[in-house]
Amino acid sequence: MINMPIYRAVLSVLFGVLLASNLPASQTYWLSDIAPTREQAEKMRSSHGGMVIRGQQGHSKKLWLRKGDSIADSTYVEQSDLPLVLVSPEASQAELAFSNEGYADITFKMQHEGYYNLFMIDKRVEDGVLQETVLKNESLSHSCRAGHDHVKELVPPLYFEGVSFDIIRERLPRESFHLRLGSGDIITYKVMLNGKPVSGAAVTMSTQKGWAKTLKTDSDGRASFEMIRDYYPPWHEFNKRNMETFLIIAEYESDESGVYQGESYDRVHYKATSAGNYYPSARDYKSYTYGLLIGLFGLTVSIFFIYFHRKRAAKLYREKRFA
Amino acid sequence: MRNKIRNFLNNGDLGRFRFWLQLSLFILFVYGGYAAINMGDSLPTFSCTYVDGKPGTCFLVPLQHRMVTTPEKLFSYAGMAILTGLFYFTLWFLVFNKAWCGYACPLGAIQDWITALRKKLGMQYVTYSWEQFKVLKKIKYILLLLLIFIPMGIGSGIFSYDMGVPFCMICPARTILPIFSGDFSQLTIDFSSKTKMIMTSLGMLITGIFLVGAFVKKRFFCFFCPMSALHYLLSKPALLKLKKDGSKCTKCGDCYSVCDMQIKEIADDVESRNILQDDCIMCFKCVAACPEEGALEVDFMGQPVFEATVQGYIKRMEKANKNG
Ligand code: SF4
Ligand code: SF4
Ligand code: SF4
Repeated sequence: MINMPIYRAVLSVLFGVLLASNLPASQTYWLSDIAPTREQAEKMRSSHGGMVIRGQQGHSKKLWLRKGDSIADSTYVEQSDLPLVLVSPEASQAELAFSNEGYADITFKMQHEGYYNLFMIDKRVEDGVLQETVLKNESLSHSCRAGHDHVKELVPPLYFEGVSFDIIRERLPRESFHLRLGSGDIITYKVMLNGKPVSGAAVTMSTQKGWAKTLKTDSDGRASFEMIRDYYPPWHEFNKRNMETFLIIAEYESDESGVYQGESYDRVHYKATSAGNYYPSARDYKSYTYGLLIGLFGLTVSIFFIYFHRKRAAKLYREKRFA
Repeated sequence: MRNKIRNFLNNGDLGRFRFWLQLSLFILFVYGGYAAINMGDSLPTFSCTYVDGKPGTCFLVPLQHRMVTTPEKLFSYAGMAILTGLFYFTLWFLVFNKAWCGYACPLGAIQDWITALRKKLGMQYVTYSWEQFKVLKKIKYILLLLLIFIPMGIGSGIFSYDMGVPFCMICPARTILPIFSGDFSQLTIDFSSKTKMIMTSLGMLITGIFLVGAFVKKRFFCFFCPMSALHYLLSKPALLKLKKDGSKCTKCGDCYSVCDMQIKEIADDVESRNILQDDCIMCFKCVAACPEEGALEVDFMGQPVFEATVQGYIKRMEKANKNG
């Protein structure tokens, strides 16, 4: 049996690589709630807004650091020393670190109702360019036991001042803690730079099965994607809780110049990533036509039932009378 | 002064009072949430959770939700959550008793409005025979048991999660009330699994039957309503009471003939003081129709608030005759 941490430490020394202790700009990193192994996946349960580890006093979220531009080809990073910031629904902040036990993963408890935002921020000058990378994860914590009325004000997204470059998923008009984003939904991301929406940023959405689309943000900093439908199982295998992941990558270049940690730069390259989950659209399995037909059937049968019932009652009455 | 108020109440036009109160409470329970009213999730009436603008939630939802648990958890924290919910439910209920049905329930109001429409059209209504009545009145208790045991079965892995909130799936409030805020999405059949398909089909079938049923039979659905069954289990200690003084009753049957719920005891029983029956919706039409001084009365914490009087009876009769 090989002792993994020692094995990796030896490898690192041998090859002089510190696995992902920084984020090279040419690579895309993102935070994912999909477990790397079947064994780990079995510990996860799906809840409102994604996979969690269930607990009596609030669930826990576990996220893995992944590397790759597309979900299918992304690998799981084994080690990273970069710090993370967790912002709770109450806006309290906590510094966290990856466990690095086999994988660069992070587990945090979600005790309060609402969205937990996890950020990993990396800033580095490479070839005269300041590379500013933000990895973001927005996780919902909700238990129906807590009720639904007082949590409505917790639905809007967080605008966090601690990051200069941020991507924010705008809420749908019908959004609640029970919303599942589905095929056919218009999913809008807003790209913010130093607290202001930025136009012309490139936003790429890619799905688990490899479909990808890139848009430029409009003058309000928005990019809207109509979620595609890419789930076509036979009827008896259809699962409306079939969850797939999509990845969002936003990039923006500006010609700001300056000095960062003793190194000068004349351009800044911003990059932010975030992942979300989507499900089959309710329109795929809900039918008004059948609903109304069955309703009408109930209505008609009842009318006939009452009509004949009354007719019979009336006859009986007459028979008795003139017998 | 006291007598003046009493006379005013006893001579009042109960029908009109009830219509306006029902309408106001209908607006509250369908749109109140838009005015940021929050009454919690243990309401003893059909403030349906599927309605966008609900000001609070029908207690049957958390009850069904929380029962989805294993027996071990039921005797620890899950049980505590159920008891807390039941506590708030009881608090609400103890004050108004079953008048929640006669005055507050939006589905009850809809049934009354459908009845009013039938009356306008001059169509005859249906009543149950005594034999039918005895059998049918048991259904609500069976539904109550099912809505508790099916979720427990889900928690123990006997039923699929698609069986969740089983009563809501067949409750006509779920399909009909959201329509009032422009939401028709509950009128669909869900084909995502066999269980969902069967439950949503049942829901639509019952909606169809409900519309016809409410048209020909007064308060057709209330007779089968598990909320009403749950009410009755708690109605003895409630503050609002329907009382009868049997020594003043002549068994004329006026009360029985106006009763939407066909409660025979209201006329027949001259022994009981607390005359509330499990099917009663506390509409108090019987009190308004009673011609005998003090035979029937509505009592709040021992204080009579509405009483059968000869004067009141005559006033209401004259009015009814004038209106045809
Ligand atoms: S569907 Fe019926 S039982 Fe369920 S919340 Fe609505 S009113 Fe209550
Ligand atoms: S018995 Fe009738 S009025 Fe009472 S809760 Fe049920 S549907 Fe509403
Ligand atoms: S007994 Fe009286 S209060 Fe109860 S439902 Fe009948 S008429 Fe209404």
